[in-house]
Amino acid sequence: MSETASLSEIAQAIVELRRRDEVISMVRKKLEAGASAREILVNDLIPGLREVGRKFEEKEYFLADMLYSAITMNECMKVLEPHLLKEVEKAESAGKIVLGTVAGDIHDIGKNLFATLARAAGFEVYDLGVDVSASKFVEKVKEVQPDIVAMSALLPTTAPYFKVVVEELKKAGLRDKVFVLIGGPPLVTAQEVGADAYTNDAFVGVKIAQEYVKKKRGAS
Amino acid sequence: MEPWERALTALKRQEPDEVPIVLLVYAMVLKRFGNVTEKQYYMDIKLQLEAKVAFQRRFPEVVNMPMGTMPEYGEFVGPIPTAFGGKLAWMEDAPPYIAEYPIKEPEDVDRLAEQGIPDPRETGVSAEYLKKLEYFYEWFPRDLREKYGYIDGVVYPGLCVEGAALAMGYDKFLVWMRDYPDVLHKWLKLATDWYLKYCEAIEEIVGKCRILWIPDHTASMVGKQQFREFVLPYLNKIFSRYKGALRIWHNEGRVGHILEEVDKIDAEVWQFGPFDDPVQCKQKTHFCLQGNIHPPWFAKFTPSQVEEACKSLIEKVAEGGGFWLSTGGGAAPETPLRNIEAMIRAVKKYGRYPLSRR
Repeated sequence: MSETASLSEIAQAIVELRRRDEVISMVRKKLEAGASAREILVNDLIPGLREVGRKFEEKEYFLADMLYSAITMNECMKVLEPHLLKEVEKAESAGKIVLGTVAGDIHDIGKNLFATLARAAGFEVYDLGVDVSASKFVEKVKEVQPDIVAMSALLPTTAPYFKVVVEELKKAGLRDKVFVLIGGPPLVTAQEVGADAYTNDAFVGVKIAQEYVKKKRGAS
Repeated sequence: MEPWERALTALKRQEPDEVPIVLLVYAMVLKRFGNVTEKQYYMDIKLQLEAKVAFQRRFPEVVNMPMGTMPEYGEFVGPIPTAFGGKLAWMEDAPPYIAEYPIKEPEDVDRLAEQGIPDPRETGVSAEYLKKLEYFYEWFPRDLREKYGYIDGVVYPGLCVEGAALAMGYDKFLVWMRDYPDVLHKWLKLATDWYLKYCEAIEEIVGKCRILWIPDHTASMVGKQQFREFVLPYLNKIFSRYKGALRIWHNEGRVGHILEEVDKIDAEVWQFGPFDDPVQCKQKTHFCLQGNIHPPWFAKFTPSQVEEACKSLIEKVAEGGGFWLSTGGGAAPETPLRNIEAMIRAVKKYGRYPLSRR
């Protein structure tokens, strides 16, 4: 049996890249029928997006497809969020992430995809947007005390800025308190810029974040 | 053989005396000549001209097409978005970007269509760029024009379909392929009609187009069907207008998934990227290939690693011509000039035709 055949109807619709209004309407109907937002997130949206990710990995789907499904997911999340807030008040957060595209760089497709997936996985994501200076990262880290600082850069000119942020975190005495994850095309290694991990895949990025938080919590 | 003659021979899938080197060295590297920031470089047309000429004199074996002969002023991303009301933002030490998109909603396309095609000589980046091009045309040294095929008839109008995408943001462009395909077609038609007018305005300065250089990375963002529908017809609308000229398509993004479609692009040369297999690209397409050493690696490699990478590439795809040795995309900012010397050395050692089999 193929992976797609075992998916729910909503997940299938995401994988088939059906129009967003159609998928949103399916989500609303399922909520009205009594399903919890968390159930829809875990059983429908995430498996759907994961399958799109798999197809992307296998070069069956491309950036346009990935983006479309991520936007569908985002809009479904807007419908689910008020319900989720009520449901997850008592639940434990998967962790906190401070996220941004580094200074000088305004590319945000990968960053936004990572933010969507991380939120869907239960992380509290503080997205600082694009062209984010080291001081803004540091300021936010002081404010929200995240588990993870995730940075993105697309350009060879801006990837070296990862190191600037890491250095500023060190100066502020914060480097040892956060896991630094960098993402984008393979322009620099994590080691070169003093980060803890690198990925060029948003799904893998979330997995790395989950593993780190699990390890951290296990250790404390 | 002169460097440009060498490149033209290889273009015809013939073997010149040695593998041609055709690079794309621009602001990110050339600003170092003036010891200035990138923004200062863009704002100083005289410095740009001096830097380009200095680079050429330093590396007479290299053709730097088209950046060795063209001014730089947001001309890569800016023309289409700013012609229709978008705003370009300058950063101190990085390339400019589109800070305000003229298209936010589908209705904006109707509004722009009603306004008609703006005059490239009067609006946005294109108007500024044409003035700078006139300066270059007046002052570019005669010997370099003759030896390298520079400036006379060189048309470089910036991003094409991708320029249209940047008028709304990549995300909208890709999403509207599904949500509003008719609106997107209407916009692409309008944008490429303007682009053709801009090409003509460039020709008024540099003369009839001999070389058309179009950068466009949209093929790397989409699958086969979307490429066929939203990219290929519009790229070819421009390329096909200039049959008879040497047409170069620059896209260092990954397109291995649609090689048979990419092959339909009506251009002679493709500057391809480091993530596509050179052998496949040569076997499955009609292009003379230009590439494809990964620019950040080229910047970090030791000279002996550069020589090795060039040797390997030459062995894979240079036989029979149809290949220009280059980086897969523009040169990265920290590229040391000694690595360009290493590339030249590699050609002298391993790239003389007929290639010896090792």
